[in-house]
Amino acid sequence: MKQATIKHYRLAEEFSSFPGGRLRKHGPYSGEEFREDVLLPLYESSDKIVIDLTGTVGYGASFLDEAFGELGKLFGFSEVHKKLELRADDDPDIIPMIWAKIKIASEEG
Amino acid sequence: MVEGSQPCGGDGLLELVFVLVSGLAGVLIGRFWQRKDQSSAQIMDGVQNACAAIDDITLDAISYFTVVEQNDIKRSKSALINYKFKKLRNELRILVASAKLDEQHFFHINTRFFDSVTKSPFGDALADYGDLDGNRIDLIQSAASDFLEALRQVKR
Repeated sequence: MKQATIKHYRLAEEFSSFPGGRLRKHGPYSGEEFREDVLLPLYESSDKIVIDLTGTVGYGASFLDEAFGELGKLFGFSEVHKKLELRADDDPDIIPMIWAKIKIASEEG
Repeated sequence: MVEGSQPCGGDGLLELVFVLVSGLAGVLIGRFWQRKDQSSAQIMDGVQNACAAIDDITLDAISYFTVVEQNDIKRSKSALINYKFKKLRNELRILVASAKLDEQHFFHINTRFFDSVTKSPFGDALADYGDLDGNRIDLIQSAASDFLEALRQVKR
């Protein structure tokens, strides 16, 4: 029986402590860069991913929309909800905000 | 025993019990009010801190969207605003717990304010500011004003 693969990713340590804006053209560490270079490859190569958002200076809605909202558009809310786990020990209230963005984007998609 | 005198002890004991019970009740009522005062003060502090944070973010956001600056300065300002939002969410969490509100009490108004400030083109390059929606400042101020009103409604 194949064992489920779970990958953990700590955004502050492995991507940046200073997440940027929406698109690559807007500067480094954008939501688009995170989604294309990190999130999608992790998502497609594992059964479950745990993204730890703890430790950054903070996130803007433009970064979150582009990084996570687009995931909802691509795969739908229920699939993303099964496969993605979010953590933010120092800012737990950002998590329901991200899920709301994924839900809205999946309905638009 | 002298005729007509009352048996000693009965009334004295009753009086003692009365003094003890009323003393204990006084202590308990005092503690109750002390805790209530502390809780009210904590809620009031929470409301004041959150209101100050919202005013602060609003000023920073207006400056961010109206003052022309180098991209690296813009990026530093956007990081600072993101940090202030993170602090605001933590202030709100403490306030919600001390005022015994529903966890989702400020969710929609908080998200609205957060989105009004930090949705695109926030965090983006200066060159894109030509596309900035002229109503953005109005949106930020309106969301901030509704947020402040919601905070003032919190019962102490």
